[in-house]
Amino acid sequence: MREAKEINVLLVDDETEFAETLAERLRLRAFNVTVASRAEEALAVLDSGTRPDVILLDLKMPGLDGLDALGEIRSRYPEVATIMLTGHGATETSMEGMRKGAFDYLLKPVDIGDLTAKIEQAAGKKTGGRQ
Amino acid sequence: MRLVTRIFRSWFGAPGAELTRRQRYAYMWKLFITVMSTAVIVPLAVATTISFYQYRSLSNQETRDKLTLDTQSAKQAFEYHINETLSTMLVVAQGYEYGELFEQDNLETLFARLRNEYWWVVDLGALDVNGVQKAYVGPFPFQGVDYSGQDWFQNAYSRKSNVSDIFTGYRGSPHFVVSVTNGVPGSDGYWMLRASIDAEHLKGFITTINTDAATDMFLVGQDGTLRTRSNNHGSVGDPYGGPLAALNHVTVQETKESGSPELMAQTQIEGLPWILVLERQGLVHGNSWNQFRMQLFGIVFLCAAAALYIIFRVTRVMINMIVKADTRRDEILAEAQHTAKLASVGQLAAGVAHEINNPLAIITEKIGLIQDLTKQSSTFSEKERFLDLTKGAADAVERCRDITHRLLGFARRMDVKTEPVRLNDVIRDVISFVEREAGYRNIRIEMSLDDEIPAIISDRGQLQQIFLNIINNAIDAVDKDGFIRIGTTVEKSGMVSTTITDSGPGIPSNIIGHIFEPFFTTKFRNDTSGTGLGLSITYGLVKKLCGQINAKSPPGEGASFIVEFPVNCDAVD
Repeated sequence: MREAKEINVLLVDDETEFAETLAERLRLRAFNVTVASRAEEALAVLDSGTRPDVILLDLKMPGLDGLDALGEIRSRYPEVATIMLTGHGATETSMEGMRKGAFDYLLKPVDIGDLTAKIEQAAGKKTGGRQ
Repeated sequence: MRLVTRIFRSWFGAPGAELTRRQRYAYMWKLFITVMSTAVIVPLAVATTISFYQYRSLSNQETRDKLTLDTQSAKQAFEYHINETLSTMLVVAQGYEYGELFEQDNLETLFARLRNEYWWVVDLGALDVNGVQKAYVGPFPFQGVDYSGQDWFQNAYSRKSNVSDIFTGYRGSPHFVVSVTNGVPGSDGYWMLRASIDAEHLKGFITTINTDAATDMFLVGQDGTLRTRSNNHGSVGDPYGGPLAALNHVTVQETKESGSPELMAQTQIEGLPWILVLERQGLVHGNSWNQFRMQLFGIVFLCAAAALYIIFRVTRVMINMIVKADTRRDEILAEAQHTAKLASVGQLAAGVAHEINNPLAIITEKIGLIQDLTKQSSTFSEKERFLDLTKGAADAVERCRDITHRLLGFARRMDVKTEPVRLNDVIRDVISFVEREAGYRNIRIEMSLDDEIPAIISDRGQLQQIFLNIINNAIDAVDKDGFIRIGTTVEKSGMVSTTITDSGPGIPSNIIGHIFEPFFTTKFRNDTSGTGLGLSITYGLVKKLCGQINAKSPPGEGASFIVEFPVNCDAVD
């Protein structure tokens, strides 16, 4: 379980309790996880040169909205795969995210098995893309 | 004024009073009737009155003009007859030498010629300077009669020609004398030729004039007595009694001698001692006028009656349209209020679901982390039991997640969006939402869904509303310990049909035809449960999706609702 997968994940969610717990679970599954509580913070991380393989992005956040942040990320760092997390369940919002270039979306609460599978798919696609 | 106010108040009610809807309709009805009747009847009455008086004035004038013309014509005819006779006698007389007319043969020849032209000449005589009738032709023994003492002779003696007044004379019957003279009065060569004409013949002159039966035409002498018989005033010699105006032109005046208004025209006959009088019942007072008046008022009455009938009918139709429009407006308002309420409930549900989802996500992750850490521990003695307990907690959270997802799904039903929808899936969604409630009440839900039915192009949210409401109604009807059967199939017509049958008490046959009318369902079923949709709104939604809904309730077999939808409905908006 602790075998390093070398997949870097940036988890962006304003619910810090949720984000920290999920990050810890992912770390237990050998993912390198960085947590950001706001979209602006996530963009700052990216601007600092850090390049995660996958970004887990909550759609409903104070400040810069998840959908807007997605647009920024896709325009500035198109090589980073983004998976949307939403507790809202609005299909239209999720579809809008997919149109903006999200890799996929998952409804909160997420099944950890589904989530890890999606992260690996996203990271693999990105890796494949590089090759 | 007080009476008008009282009538106004009794008809329209006291001003400023609060009116119920029914009273308002009655008020509108009265207002329409009053305004429209006034708008029609008043101009009709004014036009009729003006026409009536104008026509009467014209008729009166026409009658006066005709009477004047008739009088003028009668005068001319009369003068013509007399003057013709006189002229002929003058011409003839001038053709004879003195003494020749005293010979009987000559006079007879002359009389024969005269009678040939003027049949009304009764006799003819030739008189000498002393007034003695030297020769005579006629029915009376007047040969040698001396007329020198007669008024007519003295008047005619010194004139070339003369027409006497009417008198009885020797013969004892009314007549007048037409005479011409020749020679110098008082000299031996003087003679007079006279012809007598019966007064009755004067009537003959007049009756040749074209007048109608309503006209009384007669002659009056200077002494005011009748010279010819009058229909209204008596025989010859009787006093006329009316006013006389001996003028050469025609005068017309209105009298009321016989009790009813009459028009009277008079004129002096030129050169004769008589006044011609014509009396006629004016048209405006006669039968023709009465007939016209009856016809006019009859037509006006019929027009007014027809107008009032049309006004009443039109007003009733208008009021009915207003009542229907008001009812429809109330329905739309109620529906809008209901929709707004549902939208609020939907928003609330969405908010609640969202707010609950986040803590659920935290709980899920915390449980997951606990499970992860427990699985990694090799020393924890209660590891299996602990994992079992946390799994139970995770399952409960999973159930909550299903509920919040379903709530979010239903909260979105106000959005109108058409897409291919499988009715079986919609029904399963709805059942998953109500099955817990049904389970509490020990109501069995039996589904017989045909997997072969095609997807329909429709609005998923509104379909959910429809079936949720019908199934909630069914649960309310069964109350407890019963069943609800739901079946889907494809009809021969191609419509996709869903039948929902419950084991409740059923719907009475006398009201089953009204259950889809607004507010009716509350009479037999509490439809405020569940989503709060009434059957009328369900009916509206079904219609909106191009479908149809019917209810059946055979006695003792509960109630069945059959909902049918086309595979595609272009009209869905």
